[in-house]
Amino acid sequence: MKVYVTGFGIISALGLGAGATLGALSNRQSGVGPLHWLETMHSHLPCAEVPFSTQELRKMAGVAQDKVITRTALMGILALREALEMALWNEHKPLNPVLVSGTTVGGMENTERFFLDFISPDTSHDHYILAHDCGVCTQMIADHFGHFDMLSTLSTACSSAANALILAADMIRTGRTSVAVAGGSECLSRFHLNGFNTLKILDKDPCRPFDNTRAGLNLGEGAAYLVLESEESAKARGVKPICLLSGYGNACDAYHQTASSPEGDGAVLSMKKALHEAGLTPQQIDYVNAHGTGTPNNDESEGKALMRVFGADSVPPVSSTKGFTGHTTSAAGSVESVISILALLHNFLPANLNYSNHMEMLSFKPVTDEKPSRPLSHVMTNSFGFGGNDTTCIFSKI
Amino acid sequence: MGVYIQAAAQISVQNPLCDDWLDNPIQYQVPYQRAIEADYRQFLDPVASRRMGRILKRAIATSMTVVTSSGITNPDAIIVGTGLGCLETTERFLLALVQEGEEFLQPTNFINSTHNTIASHIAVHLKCNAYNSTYVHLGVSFESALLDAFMQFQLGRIHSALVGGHDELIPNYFYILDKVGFWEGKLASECAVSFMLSDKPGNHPMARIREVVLLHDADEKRLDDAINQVCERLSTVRKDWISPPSVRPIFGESFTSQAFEMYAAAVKMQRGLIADNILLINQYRGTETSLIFLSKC
Repeated sequence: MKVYVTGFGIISALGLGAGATLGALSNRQSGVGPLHWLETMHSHLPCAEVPFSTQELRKMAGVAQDKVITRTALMGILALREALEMALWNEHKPLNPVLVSGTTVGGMENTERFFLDFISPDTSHDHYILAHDCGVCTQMIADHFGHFDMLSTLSTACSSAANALILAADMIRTGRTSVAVAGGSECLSRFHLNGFNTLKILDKDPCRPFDNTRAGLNLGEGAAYLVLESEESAKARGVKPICLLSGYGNACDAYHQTASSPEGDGAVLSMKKALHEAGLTPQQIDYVNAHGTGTPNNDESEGKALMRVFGADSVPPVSSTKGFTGHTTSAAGSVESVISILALLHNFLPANLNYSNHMEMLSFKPVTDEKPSRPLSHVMTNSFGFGGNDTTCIFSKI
Repeated sequence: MGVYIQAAAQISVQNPLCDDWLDNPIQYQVPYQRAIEADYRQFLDPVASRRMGRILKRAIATSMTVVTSSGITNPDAIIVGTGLGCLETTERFLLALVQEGEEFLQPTNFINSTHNTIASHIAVHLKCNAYNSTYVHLGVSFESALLDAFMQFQLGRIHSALVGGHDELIPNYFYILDKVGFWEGKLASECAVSFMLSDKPGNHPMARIREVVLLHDADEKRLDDAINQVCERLSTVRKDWISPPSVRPIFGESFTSQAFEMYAAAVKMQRGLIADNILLINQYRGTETSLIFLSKC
C-alpha cells in the first residue's frame, strides 16, 4: 500500500515555515550563529537556535500565558499547524488520526532549571514536574489541536523523528488509520549541549560536513511534521498528495553507544532496507540528504556506507544540510525529510555548506552546485542516532 | 498470522527471573520499593557490569533469559518501551550540571542517559543489527513497543522480536512524583520484563497475541467501539474476553507495569490458571489507553 505525504511543516534556525526554509536553502543563508536564548557558559559554541524566544513562540502558537508548556512543544505546535493547514485538516477532518512524535530532551529545559527545587520541599515549580516527560510533550502538541485518536512517542536519539515516520506509515499500511502525522521536536537545553560538549564533538566554528578539516557538529533545534495518508483517504478528503514516502529502513549498528562502526554497517543496512521497501535500485536515487553531522567519525563512516550502497563510482549527489540548521537531534529526521521534499518539489540540490577540502578516503564530493544534472524523482534521507539507531527514508515524486 | 510469546522473564520486587510470585508473592507495606536484583555474573563480565546502571543490567539479564529459553539468539527486532529511561545516569549528569556547573562534567553519564541506551545495549550485547526502536509514551510505553512489533509481524518484515518494558525508579524521582500525588498511595516500584515473540509457537508457547490497540482521550463509548471492532475482526464477541484482576499490587506501579500484566497473564495462561481469551486494559491517567488481546495457544 502506498503512503502519501499530504502536508508538512517546519520550524528551525532558518525560520518558521517551508517558505522561509526554502528561501534560506536557496540563498545559502545558514542558521548557525551565536546563542541568543540558551544560558550557558559555552556561549562561544555556535548553535542553530530557532530565532524566536520561548515567549514569542508562545504568542505565535496562541498558547495562553498561564498554560504549562515547553519550548519543545511550542515548536512542535507551530510546525504541526503548518503541516495540518497544508493537508486541509480543518476543512476535511480525517477519521481517527494518529500523532507520532520523536523527542529525547522532552521537558529537560525546565527540569534543569528547577531540579533542585523539585527534590526539595519547595513547591513553587512543581507544575513543571509532569511536563518533564517526552510523552507529555506529544500530548501538549496533540491537545493543542485536539481530535487525535492515538498518540505515541519515539526516542531513538537523533533518529527519533525518522522512526516516528516509520511507525506512522506502518499504522497506515496495517489499516489501523488512514491518516498519521509524524515527526519530531527538540529544543536546545544545557543538558544536551553539555552532554555533546563532554564528548568533544562540538565544533567551535560553523560545522564543515564531509570536509577533510571537519571538527565536529553544531547543535540546532527545531521541529517538523509530515501528514502521511492513504490514497483512499486523500481522495475522500479532496487533498492533493505532495509526494510518496516510498520506502524506509531501520537497522542497528550494534557497535558502540556513541561511535559509528568504521565501515558504516548499520547505515548500509538501513539504506538497503529502504531501497528494498521502495522497490528502487540505488541508481534511481537522485539525491541523498546525509546525516552528515560534521564529526570526523560520522562523516567517514557514513561516506563509506554510501560508497558501499551505491558503488564508489556512482554515489548520487550527497549533501548534509546541518550547515544550515545545525544538528536538530531528535527532530533531524523530520527536519531533513522536509528539506529533502523541498528539494524534490523544487528540483534543486541543497548545498553542503562550508565544504572546501576533499576527504581522501571518499570517492565523492558533497553538493556545491544546487543545479541537478537530472530532474529529481527519488530522494533519500539518513538519520543516525547514538546507540547505532540508523534510519533511512525515501521520498518519491508521484 | 500468529504472534506467539515464546518466552518471558522479569526482574521486579518479586524474586527475579522466576515465577515464585505465583505461589508465594512477597508482600510490601511500603510506598516505594526497588527491584530485587538478579545475579548478573551469569550474564555480564564484572567490568561490563560495573559500567552499567541497574536498568541496563536488568534489561540484559531479562533479555538473555528469553534468548536462552527460546533459542532465538538473533531476533529480527529489538524494541523497548520505557517511561522514564535511564533515570540513574540522567540524574547523575543533571545533578552535576546544576550543582557543580558546566565545567567538569563526565561524558559517561550523558552517553548512558538517552532512552534508547537500553535497546542499543541489548543490540550490542547480542551483536544484533536488526530493527531497533524505543518508545517513551508515558504509561503506555511498553504497549507502544508491543504495537510496533505486532505491526512488523503483520507486514511480514520479521519472524521474531525481543520486546521489553523497562523502568527504574530512583529515590529522588519517587519523591518528585510523590510531591504531585502521582502514586496515589500505590506501591511505587521498578520494572524489567522481556518477551521473545515469534511468528511460530515453538515448543512451549505461553500465549498468542491477537491484537494491540492504543487510544488517546478515549471516552467509554470510544473504548467500547474499539474493543468491539477487534472482537468482530477476531470473529469473537465481547463476552469471550475476560479481564483478570491486576497484578500491580504484586509487582507495583511503574510507567511500564503493563508489561507485568502481560507477563503474568501469559504465565497463568500457559498453566491453565486463567481464561483462554484475555483482554488487558490499561488506562493511564485518563488520557492514554491500551488494549492487549491474548489467547491460549
